[in-house]
Amino acid sequence: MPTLAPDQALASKQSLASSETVQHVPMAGFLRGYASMSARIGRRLLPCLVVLTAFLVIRSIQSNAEAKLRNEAFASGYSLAAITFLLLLLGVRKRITTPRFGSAAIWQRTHHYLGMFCLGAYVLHAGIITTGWLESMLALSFWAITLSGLVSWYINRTAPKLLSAAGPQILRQDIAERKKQVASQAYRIAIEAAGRADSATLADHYQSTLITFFGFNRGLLFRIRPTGSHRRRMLASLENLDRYLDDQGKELRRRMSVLVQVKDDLDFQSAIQNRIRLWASIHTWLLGGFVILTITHVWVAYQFSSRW
Amino acid sequence: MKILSPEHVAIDRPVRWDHPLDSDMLSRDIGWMLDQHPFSAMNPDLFNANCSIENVLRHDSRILRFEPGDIVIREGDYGSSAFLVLRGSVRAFLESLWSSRGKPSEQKSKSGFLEMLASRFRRATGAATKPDVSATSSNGRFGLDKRNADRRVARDVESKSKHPAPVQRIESTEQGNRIFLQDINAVIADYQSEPLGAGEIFGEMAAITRTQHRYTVVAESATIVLEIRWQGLRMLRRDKSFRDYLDTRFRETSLKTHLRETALFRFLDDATMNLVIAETKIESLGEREWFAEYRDTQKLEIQSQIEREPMIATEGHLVNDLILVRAGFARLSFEHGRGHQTVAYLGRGHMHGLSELAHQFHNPTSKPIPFQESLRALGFVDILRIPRELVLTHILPQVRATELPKPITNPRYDEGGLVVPDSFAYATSTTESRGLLNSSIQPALGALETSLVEFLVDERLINGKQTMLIDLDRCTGCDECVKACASTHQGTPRFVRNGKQFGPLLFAHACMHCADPVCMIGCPTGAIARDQETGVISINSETCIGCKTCAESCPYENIVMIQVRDQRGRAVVDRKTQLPILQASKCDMCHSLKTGPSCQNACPHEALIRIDTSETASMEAWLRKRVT
Repeated sequence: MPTLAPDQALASKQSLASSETVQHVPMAGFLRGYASMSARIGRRLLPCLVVLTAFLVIRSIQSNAEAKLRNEAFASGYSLAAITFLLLLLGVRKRITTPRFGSAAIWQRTHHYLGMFCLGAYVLHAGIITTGWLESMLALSFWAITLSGLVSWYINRTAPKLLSAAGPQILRQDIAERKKQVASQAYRIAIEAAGRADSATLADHYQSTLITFFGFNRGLLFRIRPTGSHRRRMLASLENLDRYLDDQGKELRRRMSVLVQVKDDLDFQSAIQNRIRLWASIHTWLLGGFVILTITHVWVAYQFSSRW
Repeated sequence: MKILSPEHVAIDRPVRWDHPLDSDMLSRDIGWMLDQHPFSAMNPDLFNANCSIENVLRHDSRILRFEPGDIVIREGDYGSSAFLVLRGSVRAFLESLWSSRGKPSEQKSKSGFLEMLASRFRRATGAATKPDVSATSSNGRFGLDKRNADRRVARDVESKSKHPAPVQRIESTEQGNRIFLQDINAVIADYQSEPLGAGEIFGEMAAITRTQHRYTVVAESATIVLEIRWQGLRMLRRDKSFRDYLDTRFRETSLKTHLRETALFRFLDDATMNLVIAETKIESLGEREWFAEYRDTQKLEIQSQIEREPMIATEGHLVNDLILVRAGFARLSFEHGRGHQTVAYLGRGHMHGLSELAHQFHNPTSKPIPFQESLRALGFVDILRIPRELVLTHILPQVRATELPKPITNPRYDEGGLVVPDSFAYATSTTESRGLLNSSIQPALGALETSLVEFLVDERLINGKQTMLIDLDRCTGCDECVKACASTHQGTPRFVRNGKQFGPLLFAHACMHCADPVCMIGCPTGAIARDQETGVISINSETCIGCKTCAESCPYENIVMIQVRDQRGRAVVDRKTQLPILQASKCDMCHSLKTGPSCQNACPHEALIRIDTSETASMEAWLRKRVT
């Protein structure tokens, strides 16, 4: 039963009245839900409408230019160049701390919608398939950056939930140290087990299987897509040792199993946190390359195409 | 630890009283004051040579002069000094002069980029200069203490509406800005006030409890006032006569102001009110410096921790008093299984026992119903006890029926003892029966789970006014918040992106700018202080002597000691010992920035917020928003 702490005493008639309304109107819950849903839709719908309108404006300018036998690519091209510049500003905003230029969250959201707009403007400008080596490189770069942006956006939305579901937060810079501590604890358990004849099997198992698990980073496959299958296998193999162990050995085995879980959690945290950083970096690097190619393309277009 | 680097700057280690409150205090004035009450009655033998009464007055006090109408202290401002009237007289307005008051600093901290542009435009065009400030022109926001916004009402609403709100004006003089009330005589005639003459003290309540002033004090005639900052006041309290004088005054004033601002009593006439004041007892539980005991009890099992908390009211016992929380926090719980389930935390203005007394009021022929929950003090708590008979005969008949709690239909305890062991049924019935005046629990919202309430209480996060909360379901660990903090504070971040965690909610190690900032109690120089208007607690690097008292007092380990460096990055060391000079460092809410805390601004995923955990409304609103 969810129970709430009481709020502050309501003093004025007005606040009492408003509180009463909230408590006794049966539709209040529904209305609140509806209001929050509409706010949520509004928050996303409005920028989408703005993007759509901007796209239609550019399309109409392009049609207009086409009708007047002008080079229609200039309108969408310059729009694209301007959007690219604006997209770059998010990175600049993150690096500028004083004076502040508004909330980074608003910049991030604007970046996302500009990205959507950029996609539309690009298709208007160049179509899906392009010819010419410079244009092909530019197109390749554009699709790569779009893809990396989408992946990065998806990861930013989903990875934090994966991390928070995996237990208490561990700072990325602390993971390596924590792994060392876990490896050292596992080593001590193995040494303790090796010192007793009835627990030596555990030490053997550590030597043959676990030492690499505790001492080294996980393979590429796990880093790309971390799963719990390896952990389950290792825990099962550890449990299978119980038949060879006495009570004290079983206790050591249980402690070792806990450490396997902890190390696996650390590997998971590391993999997910690195994934977030990697895709953000890829997106940034690709953006750098894209900008260079765009500048080259604009220069070439300006030099060799018919004028506006 | 010796400094290994040859690159360092040697200075004399800063000591207490390097920066007196007023460096121009004259020995003649101090000598005169020592002959006046209450200093003349103090025993100088209780003070050693270094901390003599004379030295305390020389360094921790200053003389202020006021003209008629000048505002000495303002309700709602945070106080850190007591004021002693030396000459002339002042008026303390026990009822609120302004129903709500906007705070310029609060508006500043909340303003965004557009607001910043607008303010710059206004400044550029000269539109920002306002010769006078009407206290009634408010946006209704109250910054760190939103809790008080609604409660600051006049007792007699109708008579209040007859009088225009007093107009506050600012006048530039040679000594600085003078803030005064226009037509002070009319204000005195319109509003209820108490005169305070020479030898009387005021403002001590806010200084001792590190909270807001509950009343406004205005000079009635040309007045000379001695301001004694908290550090000096603490020293002077060593003398029993002074301590008793202060405590008596504190109790009298706090009792009156608290009762007058309580919504339950707003329809009482003056005679009844005076009767209530005369019959009410004030009681303090727990230690003011509660952090030490809290640290010790943290090592214990949670049930042992709860059992060690001082009991205010026990479930199942007869309700002899209506209990009002005046200051601090209290845990509301009931026995559940072998332990105690926390259902809520009560703060300033909350009442306990009202539902039970209202039940009896509704059913006068039935037997009285005992306390349904236990109330325990969390740290230091001030409570008021109003006798049951007085509540039933004089107070509840004056309260509107719609505002009274409903009768308890499914009591956990009745006159025979425990009757309903089912906590679900119990919780449902009590939430319905609390009534509007006791700031009802709203079962429809359901955003705060019991376990979260218990977590907030157990970890004392209920003390936070600006708690840094990180939603781990959104946080990608990009560290933009830490980077922004570091770049705002000369490369040293003032928080750690780690801390207590409840599910996906991370309460980071960042100063919470507490409702009860115990870190401020022991500071010998007043370097750690609360901004009078915004309530932000910050450390003055000029006056911090690096004594570590605040860092060791903070129960949340949110203050760290850092080595002082000069502008070229060289370590600053003590000339005599060659040991590093340290200074306390903590979050200051980026008060130098117009756009508010840089950490929150820098988060691209809206994962980090600063939230008031001392009241549940903010948490509930945020959790509801988070779900949608």
